[in-house]
Amino acid sequence: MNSLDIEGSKFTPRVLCDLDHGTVLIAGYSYPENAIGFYRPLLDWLGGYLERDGAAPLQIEIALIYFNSSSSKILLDMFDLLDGAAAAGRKVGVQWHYDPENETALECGQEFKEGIVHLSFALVPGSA
Amino acid sequence: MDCDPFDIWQRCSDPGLLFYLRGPLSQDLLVTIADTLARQMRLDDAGTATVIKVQAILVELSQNIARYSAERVLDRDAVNGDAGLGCGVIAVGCTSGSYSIASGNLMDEGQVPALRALLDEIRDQDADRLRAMFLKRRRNPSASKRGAGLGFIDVARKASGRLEYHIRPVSPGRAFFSIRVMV
Repeated sequence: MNSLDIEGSKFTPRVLCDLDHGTVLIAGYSYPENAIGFYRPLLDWLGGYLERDGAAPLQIEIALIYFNSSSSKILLDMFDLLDGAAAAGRKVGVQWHYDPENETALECGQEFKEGIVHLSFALVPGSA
Repeated sequence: MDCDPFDIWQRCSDPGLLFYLRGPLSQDLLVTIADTLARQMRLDDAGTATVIKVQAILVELSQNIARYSAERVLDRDAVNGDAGLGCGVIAVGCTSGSYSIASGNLMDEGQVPALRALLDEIRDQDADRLRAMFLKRRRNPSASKRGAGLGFIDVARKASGRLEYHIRPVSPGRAFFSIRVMV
């Protein structure tokens, strides 16, 4: 498998997955018409990475300014995947970055965090 | 076609009206509107939280029209191919720092009872119950018949006050649905 690099647009986030370092960045706006179509490569990459032997711990930085309801469902699926991996003993961590002036971004992060059991999930004010 | 720009200009001269569209809601158009509106709002000193909420509501309502409107045009580039592109109305206004976002579209009469039930349930909930509804629905999407449900709950959460909606019959088998939300 390779690293993944998807450029951002006004309505889709920058997605950067570094295979060697185990780092993932998801940043910007997310309101594509077809959320699963957009996020499929990322979900596949994460699934693949979490099955690699001897891989570095997975560190995910998320800095989403706004995401629509269909993106929200996909993010939930992603956190389920990561939480499952953490439960199975994989080292995975998420940092949810938010602008303190954007209360929606903080609330959304808190809501995802509440649904998580094993995954390390930190809410971080400021940019990624 | 009998269209006089002066006539339209006169009829849409409400100083509180920021933006008005009647037509197909393509993704490209939505992105341009959302982006332009955000810029205008920042110039008017709207806070970040308000800009995000107005953008969010605009996106959810517009994408509902694109996906579910009974009035459609052919669009080969549309993500859902043969289903074409939904048409409707979007209007954004501002009066004394309070923003209103409204949308409207044709719908099938058969879908009306389910939509009424959903919106009647949503609009009377407080913030905590809306949050619980949102999280439950997001967790179990197959339990909902209409994909638009999560979007409407999201809209209600971001709105100040109660969402207003109307559904009126317009022709056999067709009704017009409109919704208005304040931020």
